[in-house]
Amino acid sequence: MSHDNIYYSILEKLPGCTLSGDIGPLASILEGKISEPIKVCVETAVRFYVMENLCVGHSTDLGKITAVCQLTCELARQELCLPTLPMLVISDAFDSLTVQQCEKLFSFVEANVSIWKEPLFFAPSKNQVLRMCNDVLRRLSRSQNTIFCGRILLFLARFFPFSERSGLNLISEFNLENVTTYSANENDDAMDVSEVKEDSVSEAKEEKKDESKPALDPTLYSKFWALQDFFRNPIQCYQKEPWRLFTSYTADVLEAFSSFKLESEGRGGAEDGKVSSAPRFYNDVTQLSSDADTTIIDSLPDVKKIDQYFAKFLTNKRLLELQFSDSNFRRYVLVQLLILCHYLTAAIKFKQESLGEGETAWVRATEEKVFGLLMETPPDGEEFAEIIKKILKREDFWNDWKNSGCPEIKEPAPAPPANVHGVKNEDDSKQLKKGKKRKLGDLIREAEARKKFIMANPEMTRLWNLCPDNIAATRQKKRDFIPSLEDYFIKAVEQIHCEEEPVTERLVYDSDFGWRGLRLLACRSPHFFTQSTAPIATLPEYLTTMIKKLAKDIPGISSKLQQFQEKLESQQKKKQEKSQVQAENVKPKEEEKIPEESENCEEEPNDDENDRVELHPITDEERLALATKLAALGGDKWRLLLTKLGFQDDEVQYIFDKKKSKVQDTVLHFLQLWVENEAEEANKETIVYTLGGLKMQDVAESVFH
Amino acid sequence: MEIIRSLYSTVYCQAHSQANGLLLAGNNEGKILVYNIECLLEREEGGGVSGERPEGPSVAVNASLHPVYSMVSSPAFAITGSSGSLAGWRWSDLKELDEAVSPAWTIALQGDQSNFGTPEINGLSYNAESNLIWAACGDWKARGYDMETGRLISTLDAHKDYVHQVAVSGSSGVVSCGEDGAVLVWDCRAPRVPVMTIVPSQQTSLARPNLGKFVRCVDTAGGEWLVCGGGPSAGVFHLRSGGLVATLPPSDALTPVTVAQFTRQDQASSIVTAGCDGGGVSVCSLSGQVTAQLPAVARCVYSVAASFDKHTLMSVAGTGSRIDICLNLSYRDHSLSTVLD
Repeated sequence: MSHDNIYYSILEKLPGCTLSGDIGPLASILEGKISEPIKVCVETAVRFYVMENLCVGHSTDLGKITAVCQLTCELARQELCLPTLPMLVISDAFDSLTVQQCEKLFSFVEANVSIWKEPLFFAPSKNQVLRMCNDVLRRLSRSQNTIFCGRILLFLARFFPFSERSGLNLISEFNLENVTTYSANENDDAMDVSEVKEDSVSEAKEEKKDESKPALDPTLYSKFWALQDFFRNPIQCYQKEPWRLFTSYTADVLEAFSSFKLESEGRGGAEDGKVSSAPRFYNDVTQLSSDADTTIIDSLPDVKKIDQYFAKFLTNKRLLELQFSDSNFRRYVLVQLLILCHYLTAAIKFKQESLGEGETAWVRATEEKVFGLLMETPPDGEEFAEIIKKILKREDFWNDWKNSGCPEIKEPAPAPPANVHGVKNEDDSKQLKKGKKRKLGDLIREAEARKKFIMANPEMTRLWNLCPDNIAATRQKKRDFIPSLEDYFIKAVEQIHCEEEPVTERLVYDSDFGWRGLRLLACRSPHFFTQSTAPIATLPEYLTTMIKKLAKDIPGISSKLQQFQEKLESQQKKKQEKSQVQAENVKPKEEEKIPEESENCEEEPNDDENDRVELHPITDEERLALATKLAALGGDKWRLLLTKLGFQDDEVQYIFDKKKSKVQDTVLHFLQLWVENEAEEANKETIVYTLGGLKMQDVAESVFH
Repeated sequence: MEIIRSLYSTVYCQAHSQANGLLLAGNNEGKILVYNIECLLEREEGGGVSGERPEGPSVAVNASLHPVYSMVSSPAFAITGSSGSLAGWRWSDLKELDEAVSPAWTIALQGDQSNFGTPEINGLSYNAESNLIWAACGDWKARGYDMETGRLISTLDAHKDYVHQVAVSGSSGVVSCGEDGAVLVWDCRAPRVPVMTIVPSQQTSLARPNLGKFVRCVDTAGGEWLVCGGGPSAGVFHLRSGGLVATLPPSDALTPVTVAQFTRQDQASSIVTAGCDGGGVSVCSLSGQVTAQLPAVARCVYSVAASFDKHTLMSVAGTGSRIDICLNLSYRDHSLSTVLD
């Protein structure tokens, strides 16, 4: 197919495709035969179609243009046309549309910034985008279409990578076109007039020399507005004569500012919150369109109240008085002055000149003075001054970045991964310790690799790392506070088995005991979960049945039970009376009682149970006597007793050695221990019983009668 | 020699005549410095001055062997007060800018020579309604002269020390202040006893015992308000009730007030105060709110003159050889030299 044919058939199919959004018909024309000339042919066809049929003045259907654009994006993806085509379509449209239509169409461009940033489109069309945006910008008035201008700039900022140089004012040029004109009388000092007009400074100087009349004191009005020219072109300040003027003007303006106090809105008669109706005109500070262009307005604390923007200063003479009494205006001018001062002293690569020592001192003093004035300018003067200080500080970073040739900005490099080898790691950390302080992130990463924690202080870190794995720590044996079934229920078992005890005083009737018992059963006993046909009547009854089952199961319990019963029997024998063992009292309070107290209890008449066992604690004399007897007995008899009392051989031996092999002292020591350990259990009856078991009844009898 | 003279030059008093385009300043050498200020009265839209400003006095007229302590302007005359005498200078004569001009009339004080020597005239005030000129004299008296005849009309004699300043209020009201610390309000139709006595040093908010009780300056406005200051801080009083309304700057404890006056006599719109510490001139509202703090070349300001006939013009003078000129009440425009080239 010839190129002409392709061209015409595309023109033919295009309207339909635009409506349906389907590139199928177009693709079928090309039949996969894609070469560079064909792509150009496609491009020409599409652009022709858009220009001839779609862009028709006021009645242009923007929707169709965007549809074509999307279509071409698709074509480009299928490699059926050059990737520049979508942008060409858009820029053709921009070239032929009115500003209002451009503004609408631009929202399409904005919305699809992600598409333009795709690698497929970015590289080929980035120059086209830049050109297009600049073309539109050139058509716009900065004061009339401020928002649209801003949108375009924002789009460019989003479209290009952060370190793209094309948007930068690389060599710190100034926007010399931003001339602030003000009415100056013809009779007035030629200097100021010519300066603000577009004559060059040197010309103005010549003119002045020609007239050779002394520099007159211009009015504050002209001094004030003449300052704008220095803000426009700060390079002037490096020349001698302009510098002299600049300093004198600045001094005068600052003096006027400092003498003309502003009333804050809250002061004076406005205590009832009445906002002063001082007129607010003006404007921005885009005088230094170079790097120093900061949007101070955004940082104003009260900006919500007065969100106003003016692209240029109003310089009517009659306004000066009002302008001077407007705090916002004053701020603008003061901040302009600060920006200029900052520029004059900053280190900037493309600035050849530099100030002398005295001049630098003047700049520093002026900066200080201006900050003082900003602080006393209501409202929120001090806060405002602080913000400005910070913003100016940021300028230094910006300058540094530009001075070092705008290096591409990368994310901060990730720290080197933690070393796998422990040994080497330690070496590293030693080295690092010697050097400067390590980064917290590194420390944490390293600790994590070793499954350690880093806490705020060393002691915390130590404690935390005792067992870094908290869950494992809870599984430790020593953290298991649940008593064994055996320990918990033994007393209840005993109570159940010695049937003499009153039923209601049994532990199972204690609701605390019962509740804890149930919990424990749930944890430890399979019986808890066995189905029972008998319905549970009351908790004590249920517990009793459970305990009985347990008693059978657990050898510990059954053996202890046996021991207990033996003891019981022997005691019964001994006392020769109807015995009723209430070995342990029901209430824990009584359990804790020391022997002396139980002695007291003994004397009291036991109202409901007068057959309570009488327990007699061993007195000191008895202990001494027993010890003496045992020592006199000689041999290892005393050791037997001590073993029976529950002491280990080795500890007995240890104390024996310590007491210099004196049997009496050793026995005394252990008896003491036994009493301390066993409390109520350590009574006369027990020891007599034990001695009986050891066939030492005579000893027992001699001591205890 | 010239330099030393300029260093020790002091301007005690000033007078404006916008109608004649003149500014007069009386200095410590007994001279009247005459400035042509026509150009300052040709204002542009914004209130600025387009033309060339005067640099120094056009002419210095010898007025007295003694310093010119006080000065006041009436429509036809500039009246100066020195030691022992008053002199009236016709504006039209002064406008000639001729050094040899002589006063149109003089009045010698009939003081008690034996007690006071020659009494000086510390302050002058002109009452346009009754055409009287009031002089605050060093012999503890304030005197009223008829401008028409030059005759002494009345003598206000109640101060216990020399009189610093005198001010008029309405057609018959007169206020005087003196070294004795009293501000006396008089009705000149009954000049025997003052109508009211205000003693600023007895007001706790004004008193500054370290500086003394003297009252250096007094002024009235609108027939209702009185402002005075000196050893005690400057304060605003209600003229009829004698009640203190507001305290004014300079507020530090070490600055004697040298000037406390209303900028306009007809309405109490703003007040000018100044002290001896180089702090310049404060312009405040009636409530004491500072609206402008003007720098002044003079370390000690002795005289502030303000006129509003055609345009606002305020001049500030005192020690030193410069007079500061303000074209409004907010900021200083420039300053004039007091040394004749």
